[in-house]
Amino acid sequence: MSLVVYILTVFTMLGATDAQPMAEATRGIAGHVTIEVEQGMLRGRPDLDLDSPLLIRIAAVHSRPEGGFLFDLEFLGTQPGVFDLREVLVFSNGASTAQLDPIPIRIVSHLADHSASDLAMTMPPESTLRGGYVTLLIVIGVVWILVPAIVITRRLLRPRPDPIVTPRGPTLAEQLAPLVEAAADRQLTIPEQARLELLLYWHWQAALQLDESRPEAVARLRRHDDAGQLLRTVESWLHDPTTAAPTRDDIKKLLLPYGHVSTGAVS
Amino acid sequence: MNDSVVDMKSSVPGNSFAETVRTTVGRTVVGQEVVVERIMIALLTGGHLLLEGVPGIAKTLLVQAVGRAVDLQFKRIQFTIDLLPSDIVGSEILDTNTGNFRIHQGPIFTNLLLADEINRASPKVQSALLEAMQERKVSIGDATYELPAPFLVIATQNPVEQAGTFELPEAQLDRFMLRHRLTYPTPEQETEVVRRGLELKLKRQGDGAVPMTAFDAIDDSSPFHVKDLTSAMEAVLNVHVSDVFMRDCVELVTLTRSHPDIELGCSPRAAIALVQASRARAFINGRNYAIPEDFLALAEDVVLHRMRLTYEALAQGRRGEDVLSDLLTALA
Repeated sequence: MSLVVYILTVFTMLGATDAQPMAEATRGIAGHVTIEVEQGMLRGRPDLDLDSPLLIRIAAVHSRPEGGFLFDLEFLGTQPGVFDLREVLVFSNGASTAQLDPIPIRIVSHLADHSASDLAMTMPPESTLRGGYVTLLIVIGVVWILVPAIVITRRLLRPRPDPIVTPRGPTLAEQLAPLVEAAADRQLTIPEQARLELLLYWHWQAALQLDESRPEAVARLRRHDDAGQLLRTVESWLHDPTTAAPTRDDIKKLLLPYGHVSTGAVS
Repeated sequence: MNDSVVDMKSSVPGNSFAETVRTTVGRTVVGQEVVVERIMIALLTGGHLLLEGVPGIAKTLLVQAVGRAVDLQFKRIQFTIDLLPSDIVGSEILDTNTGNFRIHQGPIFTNLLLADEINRASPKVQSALLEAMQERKVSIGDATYELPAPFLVIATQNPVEQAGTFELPEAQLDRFMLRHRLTYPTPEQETEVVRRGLELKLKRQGDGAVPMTAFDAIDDSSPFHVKDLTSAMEAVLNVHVSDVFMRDCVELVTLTRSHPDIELGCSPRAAIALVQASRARAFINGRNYAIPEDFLALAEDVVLHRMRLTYEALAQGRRGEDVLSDLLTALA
C-alpha cells in the first residue's frame, strides 16, 4: 500500500512538473500570466463588471517572430476559487476561446470564511434613472413636443367667438342727405354749412373715384366740369363776402340731386 | 376737366404779384413752384419757414432768388456745432481807436435769413435764433435792437446724416409757421437744370476766370421792392375769412388733440397759422376770400410738424400724413 502511494505521489509530481503552473493571486490583488496564442488577437469579454468573479485586462501584447502573439494578461479575482481565463477572454472578432488550452488560475482569500468585505467599495446610488438616460431624454423630448402640440390643437378646436360686428358708420350719402334736406328748410348753422361743403367734396371724390389725397382731389374737383360748378357755387355762397346770400329756392335747386344720392351713383 | 376755371376773382392783384415772382424765380430755379408759393406765403404773412430736403435740390438758390425778386436783403448762416449765439446776433467789440465798445451786428440783421441746416447747431444757438424769430428783436450787451422789417427766417434741415445733430423740439418747431418737405425734381425738370448748367459761361476776374454758378445767374432785376411787399401784406390782411372756413381750421386743429394716434396735438398757434397762410394763398391765387382748398393744401405744412404721433402708431408704421388724412375725413 505504501508503495502504491509513493508511485502515485511521484507520478503526480512528475505530471505537475510537465503541466502549466497554475497562477495564483490573492482576492482583490492583480495577478499576471503570460500566454502564447497563434490563432489571433484576444480581448476581454465586454460584459464583465464589478459583480463578475473575475476581471481581466490585456496589459501587453508582443508579436513573436515565428508567428503568434504573447499576451501579458492581468487578472483580478473578486471571489476565491479556481477559474479558467478562457472564460473571460474572447478573440477580437468575438469568437470563443474554447479552442485554446486551459489557462487555470487560482484566487485565494486570506480572510476567514463568511467575513464581510466589499472589494470594490461601491455604494449604490441613492436614486437611479429607471430606464436609463436615453429613455429620460426621449421622454423629455416627447413632452417638449406634446405640450405645444396640445396647446395648438386645443386652440384650433376651441369654438371661435362670433366676430365682433362694429356698427357701420354712416355713408357719405347718409351724412349728406339730412344736411341737404335741412338746408332746404332752414338756415344751416356754421358747423352744418362746413360739414355740408366738405361732404360734397368727399362725395364727389368717391363718386369720381379720385384716389389722390384729399387736398389734391379738392383742387381737381374745383376744376371738374360736372362737380366744379356746384362746388364753386357753394364755395362762393359760403366764403365770398361779395356774393349775395342764396335764396331757399336756389339752395333747393342746387342740392336737389343730393337729397337721395348713394355713393357711386353720380358718374 | 376745365383747367381754365381756377379762381373767379383773378382781378385781385395778388395773382400778378405771385405770377411775377414765380416768373422771376423760374428764370433761375427750375420747377419747385410749390416751394416758391410757400416762401411767398411766409413773406406775405411774416411767418417763418422750415424747409426739409436732401442736399442739392436748390434750397439756397431758391431762397436767394425769391429774396432778389422782392429786393430783400439776404444773408445766409451755415449752422455748425461750434456756432455761438453771438455769431448770429452780434456782439460788443472794443474799438482800440476810441477805447469804447461798439456794437457789431450779426447776420440776423437782414430781411431774409437763410439758416442752413439749423439742426446742426447746439440748442443754445437754436434758442437764440428762435427767440429772435419770435420777438423780432435782439439784445446785444445792454441794448435791444429791432430787427429789420420785413424779417423772415427760412431754415433748412437735412433729413439724412442725422448723426451729431440736435433735433428741434416741438415747442421750437411750433415757431415755424410752415414746414415744407422738398422733393427731387422730375426727370424733365432735372434735364432742364442740366441744360441750364451747360449754358453757364466763365466769370472773368482780371486775367483769370472761374466758372459761373447758378447763383451768378440769378436775375438781378427786382420787379418788386420792399414797399410792394408791404402793400401785398396789407392786401393779404384784407382777404376775407368766413366763419365756415374758420370753423374748418379750428376743428382740424382740435381734432389733433383727441386722435388716438396723436400723443401731442397742435397748439392754437397752428389754427392761427393755418388761417393766415390760407389767406396768403388765396391772395396769391387771386382771390379775396379763403376757401377749403387753401387750408387743405396747407394742412400738411402747418399741422404735421406740430403734432407728435404715439409710440404705438409709429410701431404700426403710421405716418403723420396718414393720420392727417383721417383728420381731414373726420372734419365732415
